[in-house]
Amino acid sequence: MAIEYPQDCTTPAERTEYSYRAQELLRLDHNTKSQDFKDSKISKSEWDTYKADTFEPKQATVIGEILKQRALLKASTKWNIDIGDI
Amino acid sequence: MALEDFKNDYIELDPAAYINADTANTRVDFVNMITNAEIYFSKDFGAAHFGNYTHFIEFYLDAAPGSSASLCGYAVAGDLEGIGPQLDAFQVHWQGESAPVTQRIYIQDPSDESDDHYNGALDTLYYLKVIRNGTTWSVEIYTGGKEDTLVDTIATTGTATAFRYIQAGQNNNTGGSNRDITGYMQNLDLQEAAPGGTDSTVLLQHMARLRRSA
Repeated sequence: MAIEYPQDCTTPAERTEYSYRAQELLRLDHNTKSQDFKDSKISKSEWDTYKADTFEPKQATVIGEILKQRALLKASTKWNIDIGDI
Repeated sequence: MALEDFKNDYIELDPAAYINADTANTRVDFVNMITNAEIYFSKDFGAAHFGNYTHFIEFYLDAAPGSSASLCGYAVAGDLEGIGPQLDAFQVHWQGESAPVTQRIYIQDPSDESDDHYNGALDTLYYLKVIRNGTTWSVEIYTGGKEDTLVDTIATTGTATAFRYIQAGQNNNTGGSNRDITGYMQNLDLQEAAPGGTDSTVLLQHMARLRRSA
């Protein structure tokens, strides 16, 4: 599983932003499903299946992408910086 | 899955009695625990026991000074040290932060100091799901119950070394000023078939205990 970025999402900064937003949406989706389970709208089996087959693999993909993009950001030499200006 | 029994199965290093497992065998309480001392419950699971793993643990911080120097938590480690000098471990800390005082949960690979953190609240029980998958280390932080309401996920990159020990209630031990912290950690579930695993080292430890009690 991998994140398919939009065509105009190309830089590590943009992809970091995209990945964190994906993680937040995944968090909200998890909590909606968790509430559905507590409200008996879905069964224990459905809740466990959601966690195992949807949440956990997507979460692993997003975390991997955040760490990858974060490392690229840290290594970036894009800006010509005069440390005297800092 | 069974929970870890700190009172009966772990060795306590705590000369001044800052920590205890008296409330429950599965809970470690910290009472005004100072920073600059070497304190922890630990257990040796045998060489290279912890490769990839998922652990569940609960953290509660009752009081801390508004200083980032107050640390304690749990670690899966290759050696037995305090948080500060320990370089070979996946550490999950929490600490008091100033203005306002909060419960900061963070993870760290001390070998290169890469880390991530979440600023939580005091007097709140946090349910953590700690996941180590190769060099990817992450902690899902929940409230309300185990895997109930997800409040944040923190992650960092760390070593792929397979670890040996669990340290519960580990302290800083860096020789800084004393700052005390009060709280507890509980219900550590290693997701193993039996508490302490089934490798030969653990079996030998159980046999030694049985011989001593005979």
